[in-house]
This record gives sequence, C-alpha cells and structure tokens, in this order.
Amino acid sequence: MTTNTLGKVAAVCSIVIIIGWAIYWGVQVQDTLCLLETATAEEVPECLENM
Amino acid sequence: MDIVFIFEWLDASWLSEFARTSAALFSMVQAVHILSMIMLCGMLILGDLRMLNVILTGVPSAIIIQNTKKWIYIALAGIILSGIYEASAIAMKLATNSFFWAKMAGLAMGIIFMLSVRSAVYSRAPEVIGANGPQSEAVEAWVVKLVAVANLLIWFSVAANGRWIGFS
Amino acid sequence: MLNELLLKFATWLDGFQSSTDLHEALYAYGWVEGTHVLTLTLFLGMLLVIDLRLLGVAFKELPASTLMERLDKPMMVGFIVMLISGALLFYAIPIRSTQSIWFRVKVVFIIAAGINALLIRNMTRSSDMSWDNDPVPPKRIRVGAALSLGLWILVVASGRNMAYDWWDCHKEMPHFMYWAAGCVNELAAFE
Repeated sequence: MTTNTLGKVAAVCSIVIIIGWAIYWGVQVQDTLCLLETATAEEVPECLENM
Repeated sequence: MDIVFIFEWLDASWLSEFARTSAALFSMVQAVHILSMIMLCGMLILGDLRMLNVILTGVPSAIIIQNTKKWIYIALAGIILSGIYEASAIAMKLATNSFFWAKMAGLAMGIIFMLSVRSAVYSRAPEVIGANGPQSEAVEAWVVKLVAVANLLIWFSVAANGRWIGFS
Repeated sequence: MLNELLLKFATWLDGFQSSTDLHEALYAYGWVEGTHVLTLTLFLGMLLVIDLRLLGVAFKELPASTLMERLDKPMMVGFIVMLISGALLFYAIPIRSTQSIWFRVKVVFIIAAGINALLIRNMTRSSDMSWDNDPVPPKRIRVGAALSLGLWILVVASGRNMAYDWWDCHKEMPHFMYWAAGCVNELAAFE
C-alpha cells in the first residue's frame, strides 16, 4: 500500500469512527434524557416509544 | 450466529464457580482490571496526545510510540484475562447487557484500528508532527491528527461502556 | 476524639439537600464516579510513564527530566479532576465514606504518595542530574519510583474495595475495627 493510499484509507476509517461515535453517544444521551423525563413526568412521555 | 452458548458454557464452568466464591479475590481482580486500563489507556493517550502535538512537542514521536508498544501488549493481556475472570461470575447477565456488547465491539474495533491504521500512520508521520527528521514518504498532518482523535474516542467509549456495565 | 469530629463534619455535610440530590439522582452520581475512574488513565497514566523512566525500564532514550517536566502539566490536570470528582463523591455519601476503613486507608496512601513525590522532587533538584541521560537512574531514584507505583496501586485497590460492605459499621467485627473505621455510635453502644 502506498503512503498516499494509506492516508486516504486512514482518513476514511477515522471519519467513519468519529461519526459513528457521535451517533452512538448521541443516542445514549437522548435515551438518558428520555429516562430522566420518564422519572419525573406524570404521564408516559412519547420518547419512550422510540427507544 | 448465536453467541449466547459461550456465555452459558462460561456460566457453568469451574471458573465461574471459583470466581463467585471469594469476594476479596474478585475485588483484587477488578483492581487488576482497572490498573491494566490505566496502563493501556495511559500509553495510548500518551501516543495520541503526542501525535496531536499537545504534549511532548518536539520530542521524536518514533521513540515515544515505540516505547509504548510493549506496555500496551502487557496491559491488553492483563485486561483481557481479568475481564474473562470478572465476566465468568456474571456471564448470563452480561450476555443480555447492551453496554457489554458495545464495549466488546469497541474493544475489537480499537485493537484492530490500533494495530493496523494507527500503527502504520504514526510510523509515517510528517516532520512537522513527528520531529523525526525529514521523511521521504509521510502521511499528511491532518490525517495523523484525525487518527489520533478517532483512537481516543474509541477507547474512551470502551472505558465508559465498561463503567456503565457496573451501573446497569 | 478525631472520630467524633469526623463524624460530626460528615453529618453536617449530609444535611445539605444537594448532598442527597447528588446521591439519589438517577445518573449524576454515576457520571461523577465514571469521570473519577476514567480520569485515572490521564493522571496515573502520565505518572506511570514517569515512574517507568525513573525505574529505567522504559523510554530510556529520553532524558528523565524531559518526561518529568513535560508530563507534569497533563498529570496535574488529571489530578485536579480527580480531586474535584473525588470531593463530589465524598460529598454525596459523606457518612459512609468517613466511616469506611478503605476510604481512610486510601487517604493515608494518597498522603504517603504525595510525600514520596515531594521527596523525589527534592532528590532530583538537589542532585546535579548527571544521571539524566543514563538509561538507568541511581538506586535512590529507582526506589522512589517503585514506592510511587506501589502506593498508587494501593490507592486504586483501596478505592475499589470501598464498594464492598465487609467492614461497614453495622457489621459484626473485631473491636479494634470499630475504632479504626470511626464507628462512634457502635463503640458507644459497647459501653
């Protein structure tokens, strides 16, 4: 593998990882906020259905 | 592919029974797991922050990265062995725990990424980052930094999911 | 007497609503504890690199002073986060923490590690650092580094043991342990 190709592969892999990371933790934060809302709300909030 | 049978086997094994007998020994194994994490993530952080040019700037990166390798391998061995011991005690609970699977996915990704892309890119770091003298073939600086950030994020996730298993 | 004072202080802290809120919150305590454990990788990770160099088993191509001076800042950043998160954890559950033999032991080890660090710093400052480029530093330095690693390992292990209730005040244990753990009320019941 040439250095040029390595650079491109590395860049793509890294960007995929970073975006995947952001999505995963974004979902975790969303779920956490939903559970917090469920704990304090009187009615079952909508977000629970999407979890 | 049904992996659950591995956990069923582990749950019924002598290791599982042994791990459940002594809480004191279990606690010591947990301490080994944490200490291995400190060694593993500490060495990775050292390398990644160096390649981000945040710490030890100007110090040849090749020396730093090369020196971390042995300790990363030692730490991985410690973390995996202690992890298996810990897992055997609560095997069936882990089989259905989403944080555990997220951690394992991260661990697999992290090891593969570290051994392949990260290793190859860091050994071809340009002079401006690596300070190893002029390089005939170098990867661009922004790619090196992207790799460093990606590695940090993966291992943060492994550790964070690991901690969250304890809360779930 | 110290035990009574500590328990009084802990009880006073326990009276604050924010202390109860932090303890009983769904996730806040977990995040603080997670931060405390994960920041170990920065704080003790950097210290590990320094100690391994001072032991002469790693990073031997680099001058010891380079690592000690240049890793000091990231290490201190980690240490400050450890202190703040640790203080918050204590504040959330002050009485149990104060009466935890493992917490007391942990604090003793941290103080010992701090003293050891100061001694190493004094040793390096007073020496001419002629050994700076030597792959293996002088024996006194190596002993200090080994002590540093040993003490911090004990700190981590003690911290981990805090979660177990083997020697909590409500348990039956040797009389000496009630005193060591500061179980003031249980000790008073004996009389």
